[in-house]
Amino acid sequence: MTASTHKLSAIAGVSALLAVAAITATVVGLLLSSDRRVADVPSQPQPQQIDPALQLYRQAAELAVALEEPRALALLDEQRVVVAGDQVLLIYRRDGTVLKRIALSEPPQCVAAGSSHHLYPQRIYVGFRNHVKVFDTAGDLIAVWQPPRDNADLLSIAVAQRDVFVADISNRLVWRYDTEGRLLGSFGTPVKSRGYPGFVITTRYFDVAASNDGLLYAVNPRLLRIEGFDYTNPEQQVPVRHWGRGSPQLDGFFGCCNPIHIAVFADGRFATAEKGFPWVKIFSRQGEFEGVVAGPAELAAPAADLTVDEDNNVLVLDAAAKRVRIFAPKNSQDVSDSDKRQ
Amino acid sequence: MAIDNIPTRRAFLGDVFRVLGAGGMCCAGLWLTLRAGSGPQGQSPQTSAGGKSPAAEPLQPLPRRPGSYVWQIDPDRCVACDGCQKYCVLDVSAVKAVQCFALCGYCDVCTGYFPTQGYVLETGAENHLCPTGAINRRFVERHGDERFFEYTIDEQKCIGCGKCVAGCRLMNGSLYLQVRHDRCVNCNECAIAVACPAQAFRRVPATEPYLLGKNMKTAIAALERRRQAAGGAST
Repeated sequence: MTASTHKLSAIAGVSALLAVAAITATVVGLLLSSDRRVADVPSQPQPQQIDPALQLYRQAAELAVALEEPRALALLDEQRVVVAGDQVLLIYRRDGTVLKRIALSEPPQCVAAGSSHHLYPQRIYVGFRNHVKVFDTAGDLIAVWQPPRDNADLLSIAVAQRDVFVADISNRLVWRYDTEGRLLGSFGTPVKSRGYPGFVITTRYFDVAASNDGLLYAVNPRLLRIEGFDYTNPEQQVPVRHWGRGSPQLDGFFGCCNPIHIAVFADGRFATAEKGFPWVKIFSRQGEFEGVVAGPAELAAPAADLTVDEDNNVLVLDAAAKRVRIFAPKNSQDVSDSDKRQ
Repeated sequence: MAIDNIPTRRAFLGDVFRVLGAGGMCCAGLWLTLRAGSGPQGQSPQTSAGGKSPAAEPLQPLPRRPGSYVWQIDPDRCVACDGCQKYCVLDVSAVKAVQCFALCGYCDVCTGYFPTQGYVLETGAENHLCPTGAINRRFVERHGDERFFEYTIDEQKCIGCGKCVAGCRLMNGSLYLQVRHDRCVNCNECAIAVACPAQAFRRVPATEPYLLGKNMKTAIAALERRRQAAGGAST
C-alpha cells in the first residue's frame, strides 16, 4: 500500500468516527433540549392504584346538603343525620328530607350527637371557635360551655356514655366534660418523663372519637398515629395505646400529618379519612389495615368529616360536592332499600 | 518519494466534504447540548447581557415608575401546572417557588420534597421530587423520635416547574409560586399569563408586587397573635 492510500484510509476512518460522534451528539442534544428536566416526573402527584379486592365498600346512597360550606357531620340516630355549616344546623332524614333547621349565631366548627348509649340520647353538641352549645332535637338551646382558656379553637367533639370530649387545636389538648358541662380534666399534656410529646399538630385538623371500650381516641397528626386514652382513669395522662405509621402505602398514613378524621365502629374497628390523596380506609381494632371505603376515584377532595353507624355503613361529608355520601359494605344489603323499608 | 495511486480530484473533494459534514454535525450536536443546558426554552430574545443566564446571575430589579404595575401569580388560583416553567420568555423562568414559613409544618416527610411513592427519607438525588434539586432540607430539631426539618428554595436552581407546589398542597400548602421581580422583565403581554389555564396571573401595583394565599394570610395572622400573646405573657 502506498502512503497516499494510507492517508486516504486514515481520513476516511476519522471521517466515519466523526460522523458517528456527530450523530450521537445530535441525538443526545435533541433529547436533552426537549424539556429534559421535567420529563421523568408527572406534573401532578399521582395516587396509588389499589387492588379491587381491597375495595370493601360501595356508595349506596347520598344526600345533597343545602349549605355553602358544610363543616361537620353527626348521626342523631339510625334515621337522622345532622350536618353543620354556614351558620345553621340541618337535621336530615336519610332520604334527604330536611326535618329541622336550627339557626346558629356564628359558623360552627364541629358537631356530635348523643347515641342511644349516651346519658341524653340525641342531644346535639355544636362546637364553635371558643365555646360549645348544647341543643335538643327541637332546636332549643340547653347550655353553653366555655373552655377554660380564652384562646380555645375547637375542632372536634366526641360523646361517650357520660362524658363529652372537645378537641382544642389552639392549646393542643382534649378537654373532658361531664354531660352537665363541668370540666373534668384534659388529655394531651406532654409528659417528658414518660417520653410522651403531647399532640403535635401542624395543620388545622385534630379529631377525636370515643369507643365503647372506655377509650378516647385522638389523632396525633404529625406523629401519623391514633392514640387511645383511658378516660376512666383520671391519673392516666399518657395514651394507653397507639397505632398507625407513616407510609406512602395504603396500610399506613401518607405524608406529614394524617389522618384528618376518625370514627370507631361498634366492634372497635376504625374508619379513617386522609388528606393529600383522599382515602377513606378501614383498620382493625389492633390498627391493621383491612381495606378501602373510598378514594380519589370517589372523592374529589378530602372528607370534611365522617362517621359510622351501627350497620357498619360509613357516612362521608363531601364538602366539595356538598353531599353526604353513604358507603355500605359490599356484602351488605343496599342502604337505600333498607331506608325504604323503614 | 514517488506517489502512486494519486486520488482523483472528485475523490479528494468527496473526502473533504465528508470531513466538513461530520465536523459540522459535531458542532451542531455540541451546540444543541449546550443550548439545552442553558434552559429548556433556549430561544429567548431577552437573555441578559453578556449571554449570562438570569438563573446564574439575577438581573437587577427593573426600575418601576410610580403607579406602574407588574405581573404576579394569585396563589389561590394557581394550579401548579408547570406552565410557568415552559412559557416564560426568559431562558430560566422568572417564576420561583416560595416558602411560607408560617404555614410550613417543618415536616419530616415533606410531600413537596419527596415524591409520593418509592422514596426513602434521605437527601439523595433519587429521592428528590424537584428535578433540579432546588429544595434544601435542613434539620431543625428533634422532639423524642420526631425530627423536624426546614425546607428552603435555592432560587438559583429553581426553574418554576411547580412540582414542589403541587406536592406540598397535598399536605400544608406552604410552597407557592411567585414571579420574582429581580429577574422578571415585565413584558406588556406576559407569555405565561396568556398560557395560564387558571387565569392566576394578574397585574398588581409595583409597590406591593407579591401576593399571599388566603390560608397563608390566616397562618401569618395566627402567628402574629401567638407572638403577641407570648410577648404579653413574658412582660
